[in-house]
Amino acid sequence: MFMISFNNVCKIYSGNKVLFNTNLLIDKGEFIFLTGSPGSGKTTFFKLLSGLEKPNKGSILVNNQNIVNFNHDEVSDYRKKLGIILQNNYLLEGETTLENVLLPLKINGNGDTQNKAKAVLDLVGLNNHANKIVNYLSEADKQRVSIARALISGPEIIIADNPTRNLDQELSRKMIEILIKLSKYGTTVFVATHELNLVRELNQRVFNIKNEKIIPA
Amino acid sequence: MKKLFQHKYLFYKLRFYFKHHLGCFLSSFEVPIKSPLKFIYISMPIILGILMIFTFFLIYKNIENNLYNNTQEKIIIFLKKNTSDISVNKLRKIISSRDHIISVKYYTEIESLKLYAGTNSRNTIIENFDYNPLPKTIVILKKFNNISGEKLYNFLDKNSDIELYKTNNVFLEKIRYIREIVFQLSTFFIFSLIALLFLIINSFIKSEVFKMKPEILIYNLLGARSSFIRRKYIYTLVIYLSISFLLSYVALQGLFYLFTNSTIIILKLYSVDYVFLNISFVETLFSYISIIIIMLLMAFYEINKLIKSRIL
Repeated sequence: MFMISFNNVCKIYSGNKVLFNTNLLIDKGEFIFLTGSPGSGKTTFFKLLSGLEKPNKGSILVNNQNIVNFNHDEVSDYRKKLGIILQNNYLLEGETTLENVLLPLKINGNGDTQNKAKAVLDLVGLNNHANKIVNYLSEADKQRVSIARALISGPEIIIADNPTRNLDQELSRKMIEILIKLSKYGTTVFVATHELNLVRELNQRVFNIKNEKIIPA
Repeated sequence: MKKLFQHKYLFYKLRFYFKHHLGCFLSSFEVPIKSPLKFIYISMPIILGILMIFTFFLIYKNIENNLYNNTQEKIIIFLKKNTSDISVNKLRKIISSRDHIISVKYYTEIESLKLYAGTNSRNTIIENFDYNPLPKTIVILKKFNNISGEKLYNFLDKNSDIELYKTNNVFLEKIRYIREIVFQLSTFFIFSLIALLFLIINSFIKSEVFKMKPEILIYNLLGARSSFIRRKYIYTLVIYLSISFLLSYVALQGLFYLFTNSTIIILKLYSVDYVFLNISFVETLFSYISIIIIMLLMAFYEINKLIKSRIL
């Protein structure tokens, strides 16, 4: 039984086909690199997987539930199980790093928040910036806050759209290694990236989006 | 007990739920307390709107109380010299049985003189009873009404015992005309201002919701339910509106105090019987609840629209 399955998924934006009759099967705990030229549909794929968009055709099964048929509250509950890292970070700029990282726990109503936050900030190397206002952080630090926020609630699936965009090579590698480690503990991780060297070096499963299809590279 | 509260679901969720409510409630006071000037600047249109509605409502209410219900027509009938007591009694009975009559009082010549002297502060006249120009008099008090008034005038015109009668109906007609104009104007202003107030509140909500947009998008992205996202903003709007309402009420009381204190002196000078009515507790509560309910409906609509819109 696969954890995620895309069955004949089509996504068309005003006549422009982005994904067409796409099929994909992913197991629990897999680490997937998603590559493709800009505009090929990586972000669309993530939007579909996170329930931010609905396909024009086809079904998306996650843990045997078709997320396409979810209502607004069900999508919200589903999204609580995801760790989403997007290109624009989407952080509360006026709040501190800690408050941003704690946001998913606040929404989920989870306990033991301080210890978890401390551990996650330590993992991404932001312990010294915990009480700094996000607005004053560098882009690279903001990226790391976004990663920490995605990790804190222990999500079942991590969706990372270009998570290493603002990071240097060493830090990029470190962040991806953290995500690979998480996948070994059962988290399914999707990472969209343009850094093909890193993809080659880390030797993980790679999918390429080309001609409206997701194909193994 | 400690174990129960550590239980992952029911108690923890309940604790979290109330804690979040409390947190949202307390954070709503941040701007009014930390930067009251900013708060007043933001809420000034609402404060003024509510104050204006209250002011016009008080004008409306006081006009109704003092001019509408308490206007009484006074008809003074001077009887002929030779009118007998039997005729007077008969006349009184007929008048009393007519519509809208409040009271019918009869005064003999001397009583008429005393009444005249009393109302005009000319007590010296009473000393000279030898010359009394006043006849037997009947004073009628009736509710001001054109139809019953006309019928009564016809009756009085035809009655042979009546020398002459005077009525203040022209004055009352003028008062009624003025009252109607003020009444209609204040009604018009109340409804226009209510509409305006809701437009102000609507644009206030829209601008507040627009400011919250990035935050709402993030909450939505992280899987917060609509009710969770709404909570904070709803509290903020309710607190803002409640404080604005309170400030309007205080300003209204100040204005009412100043106005009544200065006007009563003038009214006393002219011996005008006038009662100023303030806004009652029930009226205040009703207005507050109405405004809050309408504001909540607007806020729910606007925030839901944003939550359900495309996130990215």
